[in-house]
Amino acid sequence: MKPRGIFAIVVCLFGALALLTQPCLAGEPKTLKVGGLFCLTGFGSSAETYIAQGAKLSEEWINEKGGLTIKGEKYKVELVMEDMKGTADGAVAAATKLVYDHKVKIVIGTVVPFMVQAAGSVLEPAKVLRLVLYNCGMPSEYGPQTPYMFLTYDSTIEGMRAALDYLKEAYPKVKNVAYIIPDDGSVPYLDKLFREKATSMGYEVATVGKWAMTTQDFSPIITKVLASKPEAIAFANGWPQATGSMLKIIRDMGFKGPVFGCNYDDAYQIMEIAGKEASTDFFIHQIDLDSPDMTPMIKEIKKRAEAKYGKAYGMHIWGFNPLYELKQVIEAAQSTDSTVLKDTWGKMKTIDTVYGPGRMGGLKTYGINHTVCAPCPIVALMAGKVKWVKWVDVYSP
Amino acid sequence: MLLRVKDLSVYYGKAMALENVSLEVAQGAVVTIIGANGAGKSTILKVLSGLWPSTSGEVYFDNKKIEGMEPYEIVSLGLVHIPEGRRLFPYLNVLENLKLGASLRKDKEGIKQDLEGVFTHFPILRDRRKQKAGSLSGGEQMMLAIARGLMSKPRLLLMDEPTLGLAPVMVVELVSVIQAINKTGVSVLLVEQNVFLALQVAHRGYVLEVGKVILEGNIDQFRDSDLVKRAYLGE
Amino acid sequence: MISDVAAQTVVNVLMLSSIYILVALGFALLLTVLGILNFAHAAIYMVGGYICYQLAVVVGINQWASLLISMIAVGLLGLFLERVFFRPFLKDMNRIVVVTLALIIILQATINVTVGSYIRRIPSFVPGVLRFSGVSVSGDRLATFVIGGVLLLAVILFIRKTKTGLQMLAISQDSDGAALQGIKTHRIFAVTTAIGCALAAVAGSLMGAILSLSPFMGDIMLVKAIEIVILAGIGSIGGVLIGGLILGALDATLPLFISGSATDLTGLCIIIILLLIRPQGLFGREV
Repeated sequence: MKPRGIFAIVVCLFGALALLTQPCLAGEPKTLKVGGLFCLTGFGSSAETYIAQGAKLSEEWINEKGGLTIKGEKYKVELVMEDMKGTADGAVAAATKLVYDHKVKIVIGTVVPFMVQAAGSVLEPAKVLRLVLYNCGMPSEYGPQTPYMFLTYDSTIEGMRAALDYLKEAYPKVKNVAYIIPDDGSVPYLDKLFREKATSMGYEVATVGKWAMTTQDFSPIITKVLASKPEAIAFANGWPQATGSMLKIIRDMGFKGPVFGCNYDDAYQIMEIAGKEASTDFFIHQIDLDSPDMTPMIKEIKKRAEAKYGKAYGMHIWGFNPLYELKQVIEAAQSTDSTVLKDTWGKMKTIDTVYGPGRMGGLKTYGINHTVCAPCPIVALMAGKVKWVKWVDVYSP
Repeated sequence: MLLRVKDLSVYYGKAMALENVSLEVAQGAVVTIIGANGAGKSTILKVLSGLWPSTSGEVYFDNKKIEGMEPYEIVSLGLVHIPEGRRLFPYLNVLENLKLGASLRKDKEGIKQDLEGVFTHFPILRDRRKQKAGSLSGGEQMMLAIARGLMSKPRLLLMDEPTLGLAPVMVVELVSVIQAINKTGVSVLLVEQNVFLALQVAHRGYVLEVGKVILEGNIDQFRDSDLVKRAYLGE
Repeated sequence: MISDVAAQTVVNVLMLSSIYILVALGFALLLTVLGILNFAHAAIYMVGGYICYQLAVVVGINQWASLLISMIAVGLLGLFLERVFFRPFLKDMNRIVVVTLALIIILQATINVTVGSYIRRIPSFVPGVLRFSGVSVSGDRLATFVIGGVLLLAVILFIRKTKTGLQMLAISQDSDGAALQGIKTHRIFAVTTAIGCALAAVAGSLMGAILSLSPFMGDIMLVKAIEIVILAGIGSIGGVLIGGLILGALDATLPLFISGSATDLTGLCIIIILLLIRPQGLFGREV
């Protein structure tokens, strides 16, 4: 009893001493700086501005909940945003600033492939943990050579798989599908994966159309695609202007069959661009913020976005997700070291996303198991109305 | 005095182009400024017509201070400049060039009459009226430039090196053209390197050297002046 | 079937060319009359689209009236820009480049901050689709072609048949020579800028109905306008029509034969080859 009592007293004394000498530490939490890379101006900014707002909401959410607890210490998250200005140069400059000026070791953001790669050229050698939102299926973007990169949610390949599954279910009569891809370098890979999946499901591929990133008017490419007489048309990737314009042109040219997007996008924006008349028999991956089918977390983010920005968008939810995942990884690893975090995350089998329970996968598809696969939402545009369909379970092995 | 220039100086940065130049043109007179290349002759005309700003000095036209005015205001007073190299509108036809000369005029009847007058003076222009100005010969271009100037209804015509690039025959004709214009009551300030022409038509003259007036007087005095003889007539 | 594609392509060419020409014509007018490269021209095109959107959708007035008001408002904006941003720097190429580049950022940022970058589309001016024997033409595309054609005709008649138009041509050929004829050059500069900006506003509004609006929609259009003016030959206003048709035709037909980014490359190669044959542009004046 006696030595134990002395031991306890010594510990108490040391503890008190520690508290007395470092009163600030106990009272005020430390700060963990996390970088945010978004296009706030220029190409892609129409969507990424809202993704950035979502990220800001997640920062506030974490801090309101008491921040992160690592080995008994409280950390506040501070999100440092840099604008990539929609260019590769801009992405490199923004990433460099984050790493060397702000000294961050964790970065969230980047959506468009050329900016993902450009930022990666700075972040990967600096061993910065990257939580990327999207991937267009190019090995140069994401693969074994990017060990510090994690894909935080379903991307075009998962989306394509989920969309074809849903096509079969909703339009069983369709026999052949045309596939339209932006020529961002991903064409050969997506073309191959699409053909594999479509053929395995018994579809014929009518044609694969590619459009230049600088396209002003999509009519020529749609004219060409429709000449191949497809029964359904799929968009591999895109953003609302492109997808909405193409949908409008497809309907204007008299095509009546199903049209769908394999990416995550905002159906409301697409309908605003395409117009109500063209917005029918179309589906894409998006959540419906008004549906009761949403996860509690999505409902929470919606409330916060409405309070802060007046209106909630799907992009807010998407932008919220990376920090939501990062919190779990940091708390599991009990560290802020990017290498420790990477190793811990690589060993995790499951992770919670704002979209529901996620599974880690991707080893076979991408060559690295840093892919978070979570339920993939489907929203349809039917007769000028946005209609929630359902969650589709999808997994990239 | 129709035109009175007092102590006019022009500098480009620190480089002097004109220094304390004073000259006068009387109503109905033909006055010439002669001088070598780069003496500042064209600069005087450009300042008078408002194309270039002066550094100091005063310019009165019809007792009205005109320096600092916009070119079109100066044209509206009747001070019309036919620039060096003629500066026609080469891709517009002769008629359009002439109409542009009357840009500020609103009197349609008067313009029509003057157009007729110009065509009687220069019948070749009537024949070529649908032809692009750039396709005319040097002599025809000179006539068009003068005719265009006349369309502005000038009281004082500034002519900058009208003989430049003209055949000798045309130079002779130019003398009679200038004299004819002067007979209609238009005063002329003629800048020339061709001193023969200048001495034939002018009543008064100024000799300009490196931005300064070094000689002025009646044209008879000029003919006898050793300076003019030596420097410009090669005697 | 082949003929369907051909007919559809003709429609596409005409629509795209109309937009290109409306934008490039203003750019060319400013270049030949004022002698300035207005890099902000395509940003003005974007502003025109947004003004039309704000009036038609947010304020809710008649759409055609919105188009007209946008045209007038941007024309007035042109007067302001000419007076404040262009006139002090007319003879200074370096400054005008910096000023107009800065203007792009000012206009884009203004729209981005005031309206926001959320994607917008102006509702159709002519809703519905016309179909003749297999070819479908959206009403908007047809309207674009018609409005574009009428405006171009009006501008060309204005330049060729009015005193002001003649004075514009005179200034473009010799600006000092024009000043000496008593032409009020600044007045002509102002009129020219207003016309050029108004044309761009119409193009921006029509494009906002056919495709969509974004604060950065002008970035690519600027490149197109520069390509057209170079192709046309500097100083040639008629050449802008042909240049616009050629570029529209390339952009609307090449994607049928070549896919993806190669279309841009091929289009540029064709332009470069044309310029190798005629370095002064198709209709440029030989200096």
